[in-house]
Amino acid sequence: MLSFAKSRLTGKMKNVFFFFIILIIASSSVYGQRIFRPIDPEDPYARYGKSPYSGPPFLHFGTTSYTYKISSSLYNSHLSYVDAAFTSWNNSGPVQFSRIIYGLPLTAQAQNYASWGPAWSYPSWNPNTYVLTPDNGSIVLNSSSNCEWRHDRQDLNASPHVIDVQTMVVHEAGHIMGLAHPLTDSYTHNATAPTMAGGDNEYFDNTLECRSLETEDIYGTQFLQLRFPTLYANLQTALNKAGEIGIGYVYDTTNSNIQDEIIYTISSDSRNNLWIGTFSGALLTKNTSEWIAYYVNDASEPVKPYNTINCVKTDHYDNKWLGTFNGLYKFNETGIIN
Amino acid sequence: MKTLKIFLALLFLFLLSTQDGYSWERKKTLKELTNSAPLIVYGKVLEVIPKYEEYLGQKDFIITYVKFSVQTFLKGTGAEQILTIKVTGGQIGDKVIGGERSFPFTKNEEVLLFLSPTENNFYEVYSISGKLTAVANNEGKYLDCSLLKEDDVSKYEPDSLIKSEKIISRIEDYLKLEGGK
Repeated sequence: MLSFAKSRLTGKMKNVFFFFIILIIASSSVYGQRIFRPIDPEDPYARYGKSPYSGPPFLHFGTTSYTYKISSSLYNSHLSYVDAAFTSWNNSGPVQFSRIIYGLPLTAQAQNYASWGPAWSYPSWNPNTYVLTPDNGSIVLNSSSNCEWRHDRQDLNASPHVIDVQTMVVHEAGHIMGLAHPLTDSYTHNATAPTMAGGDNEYFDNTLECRSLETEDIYGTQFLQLRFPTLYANLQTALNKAGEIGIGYVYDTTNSNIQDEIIYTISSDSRNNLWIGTFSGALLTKNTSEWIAYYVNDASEPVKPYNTINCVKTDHYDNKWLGTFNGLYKFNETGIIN
Repeated sequence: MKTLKIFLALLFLFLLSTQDGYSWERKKTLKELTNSAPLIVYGKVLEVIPKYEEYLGQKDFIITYVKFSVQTFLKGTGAEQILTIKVTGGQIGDKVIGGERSFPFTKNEEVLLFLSPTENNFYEVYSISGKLTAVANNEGKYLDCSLLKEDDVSKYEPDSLIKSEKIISRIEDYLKLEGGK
C-alpha cells in the first residue's frame, strides 16, 4: 500500500512540474517585453514571427537529442565552423544537435542570388502537436557564383560577396529551432539578437560576422524549450531558466499563500480565472493581486488525502465541479458543497 | 577645415556603401520587384497539390504545385494562361515543411504574383516579397502588402492593405519608366 501511494505521488509530481511551467507561460504578459520572435505555427510564413507574449501555440522540441548531416561538399572545408554554429545553440539549452550521417541535411543549391540571397532553411514540424521535427527540414547555402564561402570573414559589399559559413549556419539553425526574424526596426548589428536579426536589417553591418548568440537569441530558444519542460533535467533548472528569461511569475509556497506544493489539476472558467486543485484539498484561484484558497475540509484540520482535488470542471453557470477521493463537490460563490 | 570636409564626405560615402548589397534574403520594394521579376501576373489559384519528392537531401520533402489562372499579364510575355507554380515546402497530413519561401496558397484566392521561370516550364515566386494576396471587402479589392519593403510611397506594416488599382497603377508606372513591358 505504501509503495502504491509513493509511486502515485511520483507520477503526480509531474503535474506539479507542469503546473509551474504552465503558470510561468500563462502569466508572461506581466513582464517586460522580450524582443525575440518565435515562428507562428498558425502563420509560419510571416517573416517576423509572433510576439512571445501573444500566447500559445508555439513550436517546441519533443526530445533533447537531434542530429544533422552534411549533404554537400561545399561544407567540407568548413566543418568545424558548422559544428561551432550548432554548439552555440547546444550551449543555450538542453536540446543537443550532433553531426553524424543522418538527420537534418545541410545542403547547397545554386539559385538566383538576387532573389534567394545567400542562405535559407526549411523548418519542419507536426501541425497538430507543434512539435519540431528538424530531421525533415533542411539548411541550404547558395552555391551560385555570386558568393564565395569562407570561414574567416564576411563582406557583403565585395564582389562576389564573401560570406561566413558559421554566421549563416548559426542563423539558419535558429529557424530550424523555431525562431523567426525579430522585428527589423528594433535592431542594429550589435543588438541583443544579432544572430536571428541577421541581415534583415537596414542598419546591419555588411562586414560583420554574427557567429555566436547574444542574449535574445539564447532566450528565444530557451523560451521554446521551456514549452516542453521535461526537456530540462529537473524542475529547479527549468524554473531558474524561466526566471532568468523573465517570461513570467513563478508561484510557490515561499512567495504566495499557496500552502500546498502538490498540484493535481488546473482549469480555467469563462472569465479566464485559473482554478487549481491540490493534494490537501485546497481549491485555489487568483484575483488581480492575490491567491485565494477554499478548502474542501476545514483548513485547520490535518490534511486528509481523500480530499485531494483530482479534477476541476466548470459548467455553463461557472459552477466548479471538483472530483475527489471522497466524492463530488460543487463550488460556487456560496462556497463548497458536498 | 577642407580636410575635415573631405573626411566627412568619404565617411558618408562609406556609410552609404554599407547600407547596400545583399544579405540574408531581404524584402524588396515594389519598384525593385517590378524591375527585376521576369513575370508579373494577377489571377486566381485553381488548385493546390502538395507532393512528396526527393529534394535537398530529403527523400520525402514536400513540394507544392499550384495551378494558377492568369487574368492579367502586367509584365512578361510568352507564358501560358494557366501556369504551374512550384513552391518548396507545404503540408501533407501531420507534416509541415515551411520556410519563408513556402508560400501558402489556397484554392480560389486571387493574388498578384512576381514570378520567375524554373525548370520544366514551372514558375517560382521571385522573392519573399513576391506574393500579394487580394482581400475583398465592401469598399473594393485590396492587396495585402505586408511583405513589401517600405519605400518613398508607402511604409508597409503587418496587415498593410492597399487598393489593388493603386498597386497595379504603380507597377505600370515603373514599367513605363523602364521602357514598357
